Amino acid sequence: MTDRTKYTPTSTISSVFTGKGFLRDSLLFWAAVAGLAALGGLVGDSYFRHVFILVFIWCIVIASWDLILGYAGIFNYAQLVFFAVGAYSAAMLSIYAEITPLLSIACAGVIGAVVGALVGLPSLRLKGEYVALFTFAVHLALPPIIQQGKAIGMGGKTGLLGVPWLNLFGFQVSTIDKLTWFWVSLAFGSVCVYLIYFLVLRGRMGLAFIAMRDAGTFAQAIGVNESKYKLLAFVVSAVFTAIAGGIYAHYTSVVTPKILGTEFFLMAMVMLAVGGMGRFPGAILGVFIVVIGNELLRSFDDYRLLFLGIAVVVVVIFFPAGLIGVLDRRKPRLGKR
Amino acid sequence: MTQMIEVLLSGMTQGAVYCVIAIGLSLVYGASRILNFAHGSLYTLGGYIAWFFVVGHYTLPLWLGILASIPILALSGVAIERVIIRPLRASENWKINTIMVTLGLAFVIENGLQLVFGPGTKTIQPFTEGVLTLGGITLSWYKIYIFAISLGLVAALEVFLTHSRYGQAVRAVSQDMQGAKQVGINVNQVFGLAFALSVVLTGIAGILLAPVFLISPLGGWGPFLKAFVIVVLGGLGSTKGAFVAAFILGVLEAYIVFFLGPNWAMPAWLVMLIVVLMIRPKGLFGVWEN
Amino acid sequence: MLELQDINVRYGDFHVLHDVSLSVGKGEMVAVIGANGHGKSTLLKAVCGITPVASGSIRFNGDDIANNAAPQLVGRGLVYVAEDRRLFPDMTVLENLQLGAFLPDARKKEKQNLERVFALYPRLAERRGQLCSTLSGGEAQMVALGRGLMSNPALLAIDEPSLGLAPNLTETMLQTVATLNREGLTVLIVEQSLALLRGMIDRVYSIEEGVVSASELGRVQETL
Repeated sequence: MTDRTKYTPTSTISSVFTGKGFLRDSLLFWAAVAGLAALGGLVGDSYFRHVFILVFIWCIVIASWDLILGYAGIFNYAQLVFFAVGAYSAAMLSIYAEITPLLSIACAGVIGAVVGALVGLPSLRLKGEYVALFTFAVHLALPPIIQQGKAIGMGGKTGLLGVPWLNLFGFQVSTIDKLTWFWVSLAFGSVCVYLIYFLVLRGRMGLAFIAMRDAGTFAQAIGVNESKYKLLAFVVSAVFTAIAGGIYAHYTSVVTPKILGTEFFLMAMVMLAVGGMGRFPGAILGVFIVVIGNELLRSFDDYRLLFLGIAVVVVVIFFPAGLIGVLDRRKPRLGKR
Repeated sequence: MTQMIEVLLSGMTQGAVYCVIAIGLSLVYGASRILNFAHGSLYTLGGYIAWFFVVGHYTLPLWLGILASIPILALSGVAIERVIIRPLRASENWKINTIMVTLGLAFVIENGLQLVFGPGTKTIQPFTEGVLTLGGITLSWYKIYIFAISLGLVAALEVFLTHSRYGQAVRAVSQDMQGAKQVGINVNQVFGLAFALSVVLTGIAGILLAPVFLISPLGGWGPFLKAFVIVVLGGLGSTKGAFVAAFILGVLEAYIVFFLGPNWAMPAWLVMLIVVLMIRPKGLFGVWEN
Repeated sequence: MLELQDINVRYGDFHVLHDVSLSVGKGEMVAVIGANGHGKSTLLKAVCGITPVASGSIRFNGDDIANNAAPQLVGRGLVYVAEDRRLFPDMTVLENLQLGAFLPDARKKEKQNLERVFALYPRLAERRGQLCSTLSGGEAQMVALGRGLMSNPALLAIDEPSLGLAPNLTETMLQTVATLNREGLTVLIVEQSLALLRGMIDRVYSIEEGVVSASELGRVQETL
């Protein structure tokens, strides 16, 4: 008979990674962040820093995707749509409305929330795999729409060029200044990841998400309003992802429809598959592994996407719980995932 | 006016082929509740295999190319079910796992095809040139033929499903898997059969549409999306539904493209999907709910 | 004909059947009686290959069949009629019955068995072209039993046929099962109450909850 006395709510929230409570976990997290910050300062190579800047930005996207897919169990495949929305909005605001970039990024977050809600609302009525289909359809339909947006200044296929540099309270950060970008993206990344995993997912919303995911009818019986939380999952996830998009736009100075392309989508999927969803820091580890791995594979450029695809298939079949599933097998299982 | 009719007929022809793709998808989803996200890439695969036999490496006539492609497609379907889907079916999170794995598979197939055949588009010459003119309306013979072939395939499948033991087994598994086990049906075999049929159907559709839409490595996502919208509108599990829906949506697409241009096709399908899901998620002839 | 020895079945951590042993002799009609939630459905499902068995042995005509898949068991003559019937909703009564004779051995006797089913349940003959999703509870149960018979069973395992049916309907249904048993069909039937089965059955087992802890759920006692 399961010993129900050991079944405390916090133990099911899988951002527990030392198993020793919130404070310890937080300290460990920020220590790791500090370590990375130091690393950025010490390693002078600009390529190295560039790769990590991408890692930090991706971490936000993947953490958000993990929130909605891994924790809330909603089959959302429109995540990169939110990223693109954020990138394009921030870029256009900075270029055309000449708003200071930080503000553009913030606005992009708001716009992301709106788009998240727009995608989420129809999804409320759909069961499981239909959400996958619908959101993926949104993902597929967006590039042609963007191309049509050439007229309103979205830059069409070649993209939007000339996104201004990030302006940190008067201090211009150019794309070339990898060191500052390293710390900026690390700051944004770590704060977003911390908010997602440590505040949202460990709090009431997170509990509701997991309840929704694992025991839908039961959750409703104890008063979890499924529609409200599904929508929240979309909105919260979209906000962070859109912000990441905005940051990305100002880093690369260019926004093209490629961010909705195969490569990004595939990379994101491999990150989730390799790292493992629904259990911190699985997905985050996935980001590091995949971005770095992707760079290492650059010499095989033609085969790179093929490898990524094969990686997804192999990992899902043999390691469905990802790396974190493998690591965690020694620990006693807390909760369902 | 004649142009309107021509667009209508063209839409119907395309609708017929979409129907074939949609039924392929519906077979698998009906039998196993698995969304095969690689379905579009298999459409592309069909095109390339035929191209290989007809243009690239050999120069067989198209009908022979199709015949040669069939066993390869069928085997692929069986292999996919056996190697990739079956291990996941028993897993706890099989829904999301199968979605992920078929998405991954789609990219493997597409990029594999790109590596083997190159990134450019290819085409196959239609097996008949020439047009039929009737009362001021012009329609290419090729379109008439693919319309007929598609209808033939759909009819053949319907006969198979209703009158052959294995076809009935597929329907049984789609309607109640445990019930099917109770009468002695080997469900794994049925899945393999469903996948094989699915891949053959969608592959042939890819071959038939090659002269119209051309063959390109990433060109499978369009047909994939369209097939799903059709299955949703037609109603899960209903071949009749897929049939009706395919024509409705095929014709709609033809008109939208005619008036607004090809770039609006995909967004239009998305809108159609939203409309259907919001108004009648069960579809026109929705048969069984999970 | 059928022998269970120390069967244990678990659903996750939940131990449902605990060291269950029972037997059914050839030509017998044996009942397992128990209240809801005590594992009687699980018992049949375990025997018939629907639910996996954690430990123990199940012998059918001498062969070990524990954890064999249901379709294989049908081939051996062990046929399961589920409590929720599991008909094919979008197929007609006739098609459902015909699918009962899916396997080659059963297919050889399809015509005769079909006649027999229609003779036993004339109502089905009348409604043979009707879709099963439109049938009443009683009719659905008849189809389920009929379909089971079409599989040419040596042993028919029936799960709570009375579920959701009016008593007089149940009685008629069970009478036909008793008739079949007299003609030589071995029957293992699971029910909530013995009431309607008296006079038909050779032996009874009862399945009951033991001590409060879940691990003792489903201890079976033999009562006569």
